[in-house]
Amino acid sequence: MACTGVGFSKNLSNARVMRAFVNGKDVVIWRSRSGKLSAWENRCPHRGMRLSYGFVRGEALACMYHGWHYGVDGKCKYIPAHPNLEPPKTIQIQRYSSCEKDGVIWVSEGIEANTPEIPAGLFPIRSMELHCSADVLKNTLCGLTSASLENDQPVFHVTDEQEDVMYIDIPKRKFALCFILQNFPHSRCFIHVLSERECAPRDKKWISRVLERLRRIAENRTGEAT
Amino acid sequence: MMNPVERAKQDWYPIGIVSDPRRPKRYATRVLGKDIVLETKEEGSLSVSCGDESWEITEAYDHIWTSPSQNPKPLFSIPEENERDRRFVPCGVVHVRCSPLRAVENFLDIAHFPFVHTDVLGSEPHTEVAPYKVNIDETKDEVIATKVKFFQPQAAKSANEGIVTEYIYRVPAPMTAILYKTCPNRDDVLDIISLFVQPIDEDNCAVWPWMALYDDESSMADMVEFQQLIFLQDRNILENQIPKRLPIDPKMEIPTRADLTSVAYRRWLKKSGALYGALIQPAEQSAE
Amino acid sequence: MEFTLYDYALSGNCYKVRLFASILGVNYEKISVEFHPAAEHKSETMLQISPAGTLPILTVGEMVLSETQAMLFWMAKTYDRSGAWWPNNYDPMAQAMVLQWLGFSGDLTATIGQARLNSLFQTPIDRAKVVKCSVTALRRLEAHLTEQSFEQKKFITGVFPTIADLACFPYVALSGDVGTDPGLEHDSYPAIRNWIYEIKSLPGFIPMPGIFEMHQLKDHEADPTIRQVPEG
Repeated sequence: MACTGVGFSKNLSNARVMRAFVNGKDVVIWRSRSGKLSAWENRCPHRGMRLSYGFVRGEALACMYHGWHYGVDGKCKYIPAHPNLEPPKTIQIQRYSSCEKDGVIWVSEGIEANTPEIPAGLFPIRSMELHCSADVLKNTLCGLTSASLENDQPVFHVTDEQEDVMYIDIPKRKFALCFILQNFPHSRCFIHVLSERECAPRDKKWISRVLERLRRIAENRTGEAT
Repeated sequence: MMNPVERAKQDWYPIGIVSDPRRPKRYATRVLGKDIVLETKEEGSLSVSCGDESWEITEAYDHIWTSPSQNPKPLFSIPEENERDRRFVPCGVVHVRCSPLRAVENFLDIAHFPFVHTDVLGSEPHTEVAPYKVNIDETKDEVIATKVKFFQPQAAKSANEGIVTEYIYRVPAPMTAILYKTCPNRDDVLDIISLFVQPIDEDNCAVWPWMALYDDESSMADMVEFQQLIFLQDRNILENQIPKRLPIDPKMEIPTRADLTSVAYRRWLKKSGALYGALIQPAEQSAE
Repeated sequence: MEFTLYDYALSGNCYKVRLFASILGVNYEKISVEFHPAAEHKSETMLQISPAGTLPILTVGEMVLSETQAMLFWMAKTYDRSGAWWPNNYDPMAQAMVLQWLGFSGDLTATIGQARLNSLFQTPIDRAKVVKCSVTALRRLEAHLTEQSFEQKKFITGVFPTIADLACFPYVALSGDVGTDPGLEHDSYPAIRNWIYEIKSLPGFIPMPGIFEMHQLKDHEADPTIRQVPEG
């Protein structure tokens, strides 16, 4: 089972919660107070509330609806309505495997999953949502290399393409970028963009704006196709 | 068993407030997935139409009710409406993207107070739900929960300090819930708060809260605001429950002792076939 | 009581004033106005107080303010001893940046605020258009907060929050109230998500319906999971 890159480690601090989609499934990803990362089915088994609305208490994630606490093993630890009850062991949330590598959070449904081979030591720039599918984005990028020229140079140049990872050069400023693609429902996707070299804040800002330009082009293509 | 839509057609649903000067002469809304129009004529008389059909209409508890059936079940009774020293407060309408049954079930739940209505209807560490009684009144065909007690920091607009509030819940119709609660000002009477739910369709509803209170001090705006504030806190929960429809199969969601009212409510819905807005298992559907 | 606020609990604009007053520790008189269903803010009585016919209204003596940004400015200049919420007079550039994002907060009210009213009360709007403009506004803020993060700045105009953050916060945090249309939920915006956490962590933060608090344990409270279920 393939791993999905869901975001950057630096964008999920301790005691915070986020939501993502992995193979179309709704997933809650959270970090305990001590920093332990977990990824679970985004649903409290009590009354079906999305756990991504929940809050972190120490090493537990609590549901916003009735405050049921779940430990990092996914088992219910505490039911506030019955403070003296030890919750049955059977109340447990389905866990996904999650890991962090070079500043990226990876999640997969299977227990044994390998993260894609991407070079070590890349520098995270920006995670950005696009209202087009990852396929449309890929086609846009591949089609653009010759079509979109600026001062006789292509803005984006795809140097390598794998299933969920693309390598792109921006010749004008000599940036080499790695795009990790994540599909979202309703023909959306996320790109998590890393740079091969460390950049000054103004370079990051420039890249961030180029990414928005790319988004405008890709989303317009989606508009034309429909 | 009767099909859920046919069963739902037998009941009355709220679609407006009787004295609402802002309602247009022709007010378009939806009930049970059907587009309907509430028309207010020059002389003040009301009618409801759905295409060429004309629907039944009645007025009760400050609200306008309609039913698609030619021969609907009688509207439930709230005898306290005759106590004229109560203040009767219609609180407007709020639309929610959830099953009408989920909205009712949430209203019957107290264990969420400390987390969703923090520092108003509940607060940590007073989270424990003490045992209470639930039964189904076969003659009235209602779910009744009694002796429900909970510590509340600010139980009503007129409450100045925390009190242990006692509740009685009635579910007299699948999409109506009424609660009787300790009145912060008087020991001898109970305040009433009702939730009248308009089923837009199985996944969407409009909620009309109505109150009948003993409160001479609070302004109307204060009382309406208090109830809207509470309901808007709930709305965020209701729009994020998965699935949107209320699961009837007990295996799909795990109840505890604190959820006895909800367990009885789901069982009662199933028994009476009031499953519009419920999630019915494929096996149960084919068994009809 | 320092001032009077004509208030509606569900209004994001009224919440800006309540939130800032709570952060500053200012006591005020609150008068509830029934926006829905009575539309009391359009009543003759209320129009006599503020001809703008909007909420909130802030009054002190003869002064009547009907624009939320003006209220935040007045509160910062009157009650903020730290001087952090409005930049000092020697820094016109910083003041200009705060003004720019105060202006942007008006766009949020006109987009997300309007779409939310439609979602709650079915007020008539061109929903598709307003939702599209809401997404555009959220993307603009997301891009800006991302760029701020490149310089380790967690807030809209710098390392500390200003009234621009408070002016933008409510309708951004309430965007989920509008619906599940793509681009309205916070899951689409990592920088906005982090910023919302920062605002919710400010001392004196208070919630409103639609914006949950983080339920941080107070210092004297024991962690119930540890109390109830001894480890090991």
